[in-house]
Amino acid sequence: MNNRNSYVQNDVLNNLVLFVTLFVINLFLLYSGIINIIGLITDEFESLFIQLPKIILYFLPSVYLMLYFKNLYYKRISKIGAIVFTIVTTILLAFSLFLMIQNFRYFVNNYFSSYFNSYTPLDLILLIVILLSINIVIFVKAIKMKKDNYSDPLNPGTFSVYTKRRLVFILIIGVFSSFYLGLFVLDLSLISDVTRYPLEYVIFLGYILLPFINLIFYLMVDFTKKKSVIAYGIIGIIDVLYLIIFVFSLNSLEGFIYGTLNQALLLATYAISLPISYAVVGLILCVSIISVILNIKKFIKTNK
Amino acid sequence: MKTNSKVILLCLPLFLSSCSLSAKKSYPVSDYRSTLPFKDNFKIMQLTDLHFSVQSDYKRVTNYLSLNIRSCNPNLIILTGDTFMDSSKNVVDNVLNFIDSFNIPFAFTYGNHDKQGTYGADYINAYLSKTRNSLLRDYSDDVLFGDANYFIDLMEGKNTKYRLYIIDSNTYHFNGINFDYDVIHDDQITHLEEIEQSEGKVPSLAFYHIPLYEADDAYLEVEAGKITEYKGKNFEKRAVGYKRTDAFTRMKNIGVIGHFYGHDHINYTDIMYEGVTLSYGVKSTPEIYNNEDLLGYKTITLKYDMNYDLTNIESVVVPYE
Repeated sequence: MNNRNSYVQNDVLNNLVLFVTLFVINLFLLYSGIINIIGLITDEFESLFIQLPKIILYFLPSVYLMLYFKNLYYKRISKIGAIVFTIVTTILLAFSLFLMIQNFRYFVNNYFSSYFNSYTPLDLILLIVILLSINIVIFVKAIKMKKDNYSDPLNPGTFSVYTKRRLVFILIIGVFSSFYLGLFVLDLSLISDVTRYPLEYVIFLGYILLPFINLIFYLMVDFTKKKSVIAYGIIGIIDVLYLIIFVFSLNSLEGFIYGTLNQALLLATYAISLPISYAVVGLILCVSIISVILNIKKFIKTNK
Repeated sequence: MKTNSKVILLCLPLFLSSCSLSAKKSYPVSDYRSTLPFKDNFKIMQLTDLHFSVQSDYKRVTNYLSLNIRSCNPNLIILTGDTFMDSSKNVVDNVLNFIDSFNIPFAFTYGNHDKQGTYGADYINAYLSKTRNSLLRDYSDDVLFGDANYFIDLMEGKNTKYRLYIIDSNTYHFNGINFDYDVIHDDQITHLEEIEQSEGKVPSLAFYHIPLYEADDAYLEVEAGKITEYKGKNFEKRAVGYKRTDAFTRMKNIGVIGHFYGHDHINYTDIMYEGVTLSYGVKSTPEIYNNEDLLGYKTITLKYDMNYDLTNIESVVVPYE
């Protein structure tokens, strides 16, 4: 039942609200996951089996969210797909739990010392419980339903908005841009960095927010409408200009030259410190610019 | 858009870059000074490259450090950088409280990793100012490059017997493709010279994180057999700053007789080079790469009779259980 005049019965609105809420919660988990990956790289994988449960558990919700997005806006998962998904994720959850038990002393030591994530391992256990519950629901639903009924070929997805190619692009860019959105939110609180390097700070924040802005434009663009395509083209021009400004700033402004801003996520290796984070944002922007060019070219061709 | 608006928009970045939201200030040299009473056999414990991170097994590592600090029983602890890496506010709070809990004066300087955390550039200094035993005297709004440029005078009555320069050797320098290690900046060395002019010349030791080019020069001379007065061995390339500077000569001119640094985890040499000791600290925790058989700390003993050579420096190796 989908009544667009009632917000209680409006599935489109309710699904969107639920998705956005889960997305915001997931930002923090994604951010924690990436922090732990960077830590793992910087300590040369010495603490691999200690960090692995954290990384798996902080990242898994993103996979669930991607599946939810696919179900909402593309096509519902098949019966076999749902069963395989629950089995694989349950194995990962069990593996994480096993590693946590194996490194029990580490987790308990840190927990009782209120060290770092004093909520770890509680948050990890909470994640296991929630994800396992979701798995049970998905599994039971998948088993009960007939194969054809579940894949729902006549009405695939609530919206069925995106093509397969567009969905894949959204999911890939979505993961990275979400992480940078999380970083953007965190960096807003680093007041001392604002007072030290105001220009670099503003440029940096703009740079890490741009992938998310691009994602929003890509989610919203309607390739059949001229105005929408023009708006999408404008964000492509902004990307190009911003990239030029950023590369120029990187080589000329003190805060960038001395790597002062956001070192944890900027310099992801301990020995040869490549500006990986900057490069990843740059790569996303380049991909977005290529996407803008190709789609505008296609639009012009089809509307000749 | 009106021309005026365009001009304002174009000028905004220039305006922002030309001014800082908090104007930089010059502080008198005396504001960077801490003092401690000197006594014969004044023992300095150098801890380096602790690398407390979100990965650390905090209790296990701090138990090891506790054991070492208690058995060394120093008059002063100096942390020569990379105390933190990939850390958080919670990590900083815990570790600084832990160091402070021994009720021994301690000096902190930055390494290239200390600011790699989910906190602002001023967080560590701000937290240090809350501790009882930190000797840090630096100002976030000062004109000096770096965040830990101060000095500790070891006093015998009203006279300074020895001076310890605590220097921020900074972090990175972008070379257009990747980041090299930074060097001690010219204004920081000038600041040391101003200290010497203002407070007088006394035998001094310098503590910082990233070694100078001279650390590499000295070891090459050891390998070539030109230097015989040395202890220990280096097991990896000396990761020095991105360029050669005149810091060593200028520091020697103001009375620096010993340099103590960290950064390279498996280098352990103490070398007498041009009349000055150049010493690597002993990595003090097993966090990230290390030589498991060579963990511990370094002690520098300052004597009343002012005798100073390699015998004043001792590397203490303690097995990590």
